Amino acid sequence: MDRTDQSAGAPQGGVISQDYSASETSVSDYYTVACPGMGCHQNCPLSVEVADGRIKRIEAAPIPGSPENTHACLRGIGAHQLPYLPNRLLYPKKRVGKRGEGKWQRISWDEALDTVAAQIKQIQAEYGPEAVLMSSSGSSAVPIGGLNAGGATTRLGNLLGCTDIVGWTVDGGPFCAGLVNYGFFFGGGNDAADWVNSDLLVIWGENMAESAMRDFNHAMRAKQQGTKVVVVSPTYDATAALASEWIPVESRTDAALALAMLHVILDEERFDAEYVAHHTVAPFLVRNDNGQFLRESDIAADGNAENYVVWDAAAGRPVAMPPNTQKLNGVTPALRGNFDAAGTPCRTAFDLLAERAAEYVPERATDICQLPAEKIRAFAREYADAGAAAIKLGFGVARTFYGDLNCRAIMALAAVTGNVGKSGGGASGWCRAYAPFLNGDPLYAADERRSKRLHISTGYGAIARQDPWPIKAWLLFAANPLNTQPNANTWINDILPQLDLVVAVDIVNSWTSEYADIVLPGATIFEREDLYTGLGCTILSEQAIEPEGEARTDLEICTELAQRLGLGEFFDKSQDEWLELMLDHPSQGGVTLEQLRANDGMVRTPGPTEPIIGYADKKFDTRSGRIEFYAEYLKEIGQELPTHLDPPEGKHSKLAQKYPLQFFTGRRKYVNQSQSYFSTTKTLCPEPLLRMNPLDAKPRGIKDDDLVRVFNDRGEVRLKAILTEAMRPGTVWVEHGWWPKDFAGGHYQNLLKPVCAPDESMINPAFQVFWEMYKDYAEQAPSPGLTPYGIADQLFDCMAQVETVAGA
Amino acid sequence: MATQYGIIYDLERCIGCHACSVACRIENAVDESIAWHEVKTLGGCHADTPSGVYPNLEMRWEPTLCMHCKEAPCMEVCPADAITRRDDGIVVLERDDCIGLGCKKCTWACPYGVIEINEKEGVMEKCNLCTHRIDQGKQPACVEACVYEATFFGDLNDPDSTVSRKVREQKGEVRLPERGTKPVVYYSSK
Repeated sequence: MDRTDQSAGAPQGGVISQDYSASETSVSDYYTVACPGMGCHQNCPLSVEVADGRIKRIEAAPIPGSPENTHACLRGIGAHQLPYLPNRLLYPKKRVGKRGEGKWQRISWDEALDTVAAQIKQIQAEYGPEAVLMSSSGSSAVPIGGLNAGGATTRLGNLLGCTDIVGWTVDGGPFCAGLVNYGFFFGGGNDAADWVNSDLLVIWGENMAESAMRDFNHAMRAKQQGTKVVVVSPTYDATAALASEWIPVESRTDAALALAMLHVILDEERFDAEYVAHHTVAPFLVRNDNGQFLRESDIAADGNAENYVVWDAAAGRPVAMPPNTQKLNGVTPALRGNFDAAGTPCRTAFDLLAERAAEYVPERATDICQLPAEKIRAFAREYADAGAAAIKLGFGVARTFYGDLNCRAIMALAAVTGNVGKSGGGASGWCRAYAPFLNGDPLYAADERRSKRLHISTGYGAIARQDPWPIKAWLLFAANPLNTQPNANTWINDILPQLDLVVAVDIVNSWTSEYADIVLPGATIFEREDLYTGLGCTILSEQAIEPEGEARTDLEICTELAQRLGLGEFFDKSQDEWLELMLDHPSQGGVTLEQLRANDGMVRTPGPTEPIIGYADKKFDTRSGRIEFYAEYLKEIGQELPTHLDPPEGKHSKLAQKYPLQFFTGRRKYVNQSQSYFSTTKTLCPEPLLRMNPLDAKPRGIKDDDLVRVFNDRGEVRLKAILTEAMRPGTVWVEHGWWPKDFAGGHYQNLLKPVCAPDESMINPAFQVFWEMYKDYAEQAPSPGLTPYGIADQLFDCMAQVETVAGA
Repeated sequence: MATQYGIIYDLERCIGCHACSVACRIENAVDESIAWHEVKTLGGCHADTPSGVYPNLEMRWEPTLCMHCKEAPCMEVCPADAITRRDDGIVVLERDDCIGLGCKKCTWACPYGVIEINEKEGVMEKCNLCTHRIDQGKQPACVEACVYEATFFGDLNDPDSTVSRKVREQKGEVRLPERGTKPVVYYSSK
């Protein structure tokens, strides 16, 4: 804010005669602003140049102490258009036609807020406080968990006693696998900056080059310094192209590949026996009768029920192993074998894992994952023999019914090779740098919290069914679920009609706000101040420009609503006072707003200066304190060990006879989620294109640029097709982010399974078990944003057919 | 020796992200119907598609812009002297001096196809290597935008400059050397 650049004068040489040269003579100010992110969640700090009150251009802001993380991609640079979008919401409006009909009337802020407050009061009086659902996420919400969406909204929801839907919407797979294996969702990975120390980096199921570009920069830097980068993916994307090697696995068979590799590693004794014995549950005895870990209390009347049991190979007897114990003096735990532990027949967990892996000898796995057995063997040996090998799990592995099992199988590779807890290693869906904490609890009014929680797996279905309690109003801050959650028809036909009041706060008219009753214009990240942390820093996202039109910040909107709902006393602070409160956390080391403002918004807080190594101390967060590749609590549903299971809507399902192609969506660099806003990037990617392999196109009579119809029993979408060898035969794909108006008809979301609505049989039962385990924490957390446990969504479990559109 | 600015692209580090082309468009307010700077896919016939047959595939990207040739054919054919070379080697097209859509000779002369026809304004346009930024001691916008260590800009006549070193060590090549245009934009695939 204090940087003023007056050096900009008339250019030399008289060579520039375009309009912008005039503005070059005016004074520019520079502001540090969190990238709106457009869904990549990297939120790179941007340097925003403002002249005459308008954003002129955007560049990467240099990160203090961490130049390798200085980054802005085409979306961040292109975000200079965000406040000035043609469809920007500039004033409050109310619906005057039917929902979705598009008839609106401009109203004043007072009328809008009075109406919303009155209806909330009425609904809460009639149905109970929890009849109001509060949601916040998305673009005007960035940074999520700052002062605005996720901050002030959480405070208001908590105080009002609203319903929260907890669990980050989709992509729970790698994180649930992290919960099982390491006891922590984000556990088991190192900071991406550590990949330069890896001999091998496996990017498994992620188009990182387009979806997480800052991470990918670390991967490319590592590759240039000698790390072999292997990409496992059915699709040949930018990430596969730039890797040292691409492994073209059959879609949704990653568990079979990982288990086959595991078999090779165990069979050829390439595992780390020392690590396996002391840091995993491998030596734990498992009861043959019930599949549960044997406890000391099972073999001795006075035994401790908390203690596990291992077999001391030297002494030939069972020995109690307390939780969180790595080694017992004088005990050599047996890794393999059947034992009679005081009359209870048992096997080691390692034996059971080896037996499971042996079901996937490469010669059998080759039929499942469609890779040559020798290729599987070579990859397994390469991974096991690397001095340090890192695995970055992508959501591509997980967007299927058994996505968590895929991730658990892959994580087991790291467990047996001792790759978790060391530099250059790791196996996780998370690879972020250290970030200090903000003091959230007082902002969230944690002590006053009255909100009730539903889990994502059933939460939206709860609205459709009005069970377990009535939900009649929905306050959406910057969320566009029609476009970003599967099956818009479910939202339009089953969920929204149950609601008497839908309030959408957004920066543009979205597909979802078209179905709202009251629409309120929110301020973009460029138009307000907020705090977030990342890359070892605390970052004040500065206000670069005044809000366009009548846009207001989420904090202002929540404050105004609170005053009308009798909660004014809880919203009595100024923006600065809230921000100061958020900085009051020990990890901040005393950072103040003044200090942030004097340092271009960024201060490196005390904390690790080297990249974080997850579990360097090998003290895992599981109940046993070890890596739990064997989960006794999943025995009841037959998922105690990783396994490969065909998803219900898979290639071998009955449905596949009618709909033989797997349709799925993903990210491209030009757009993210539903925020395909910018004309600068639209010049590069002007329309949605269905990508299909010529082998699938030719029998259907489909040629390049033909208009096609993709359909199944749930819905259809019409768009142009292009033929490309990048697609694995049998799969068709379109990048997500497009709006209904971008298609020649329909929308891809309507082809997908509405996992958020109907019944529990539509998700892997493991998620019910996780939810039971996790419920207490989720129900106690001060903010729904602190409850990352989601589900493995099934965005990729979609069988469809493609045909040309007659007459097109 | 006089300055001779040039660029080298490391195609093993270019991830095809288009940050350079987007930055160019914003910096120079380039009309959305044309592009001064593009990122072409080296692969299949569509953007971001590979060559080959699944699973034996290849794909890379190549940023393309005015090559600022030392022997610039566009300069020679321009009847209006609208294309000139600065002392630092940058070849500049002055829109105000362009005689417009009736001529287009430069677009035919350029073997790289990087001179654009702005139909709306009736002039030819191309990359002027952000001379207005260079004159302020900054790098061209496309170079500044590349955070992937794939683009290097500097003085080719200074043997110690990063760009000279990269051209030497990474065996930078120019496009269409047989045309004798002596471009100063280099590409490395090493």
